[in-house]
Amino acid sequence: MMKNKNKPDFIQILKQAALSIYYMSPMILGVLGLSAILLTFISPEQIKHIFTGQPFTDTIYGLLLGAIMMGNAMLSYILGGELLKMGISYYAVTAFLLAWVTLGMVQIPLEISFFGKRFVIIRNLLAILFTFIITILIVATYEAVK
Amino acid sequence: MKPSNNKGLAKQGFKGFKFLGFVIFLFILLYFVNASKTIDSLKYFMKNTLKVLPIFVLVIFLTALINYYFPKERIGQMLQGKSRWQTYTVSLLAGVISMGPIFAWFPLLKNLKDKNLEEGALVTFFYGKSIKLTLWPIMIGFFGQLFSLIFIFYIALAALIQGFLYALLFEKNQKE
Repeated sequence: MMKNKNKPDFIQILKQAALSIYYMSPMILGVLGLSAILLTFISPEQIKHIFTGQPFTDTIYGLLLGAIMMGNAMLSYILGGELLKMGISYYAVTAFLLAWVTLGMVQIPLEISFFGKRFVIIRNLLAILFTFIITILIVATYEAVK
Repeated sequence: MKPSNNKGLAKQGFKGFKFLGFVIFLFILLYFVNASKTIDSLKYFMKNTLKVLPIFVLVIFLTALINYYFPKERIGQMLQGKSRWQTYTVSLLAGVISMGPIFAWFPLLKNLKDKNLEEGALVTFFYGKSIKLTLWPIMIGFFGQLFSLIFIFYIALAALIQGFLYALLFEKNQKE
C-alpha cells in the first residue's frame, strides 16, 4: 500500500505531545508544590471562613477565583482536587473548574480583534450565566446519584 | 499539524520556571518558620507527583491520537455545509476534539464565520472546547468517574443550549 506523504508520522506527533507536556513540567511541578504547601499549612477551619458551604456564595467565590486564573486545564484539576481535600464544597470547586476552563478573561482583547466586541461580550456573559447554572446542576445531580 | 512543530515547541521553551522558582523559595522560607510542616509538605508533594506521573503518559498518547486523526484543517471541513442541528452537533464535537489554546483557533473560526458559519455555532464550539478529552484520565484521578461524567455531560448540554440561544436571540445572519 502506498504511504501518504502528506500525512504526518504518528511517532512524530507523539513526540510533539510528549514535548508539550515536558515543556510544561516546571509549571506542573510548581502547582503540585504550592498545593502541597497550602494543604499542609492552611487548616480546613481557616478555609471554611471563606467557603462556608453555602451553595450560592461558594459558587460565586469559586467562579471569581476560576475566572481570574489562567493556564492549562490540567492545573485547575490538580488545584481543584486539592481544594476538595481541604474540605471546600463541591459548589466552590465545580464553579472554580468551570470558570477556569470556560471564561477566558485574558484572551478577550485578541478575541475581540477577530470576532468583534458584540459577539465576545454576549458569548462571555452567556458563559458566566451558564457556568453558574450548571455548577448548581452538576453538584445537585452528583449529590443525588452518588 | 506539521511534524516540524517540534522546533516551534522547543523555541517556546519551558513554561513556569519563575513560578517553580517562587515555590522552591517558599519551601526554603517556610522551612525556617516550621521545619516539620515543611517536610510534611515535601513528602506530600513527592507522593502526589508520583501518583500523577503515570496519568501523563496516557494524556500524551490521547493527545497524539486526536492530533493525528483530527488535524485543524479536517475540523474546519467538518463544520461546513450541514443543516443547523448537524452544524451545532459537529461544532460541539469539533470543540471537544480541538487541541491547543483557544486563540490558536481564532483565524480558522473567523474564516468559517466569514463563510457564513452561524455565530451560535461558534459559541457552541467555544464552550465545548472546555471539555478536555485528553485530560479525562487526570480528571477521573482527582474527582472520580461519576463526577467527571456528570461534569462533562452538563458542559456539552450547556454548549448546545448557549449556541441555540445565541442563534435565537442575537444572530445577525439567520440561516434559511
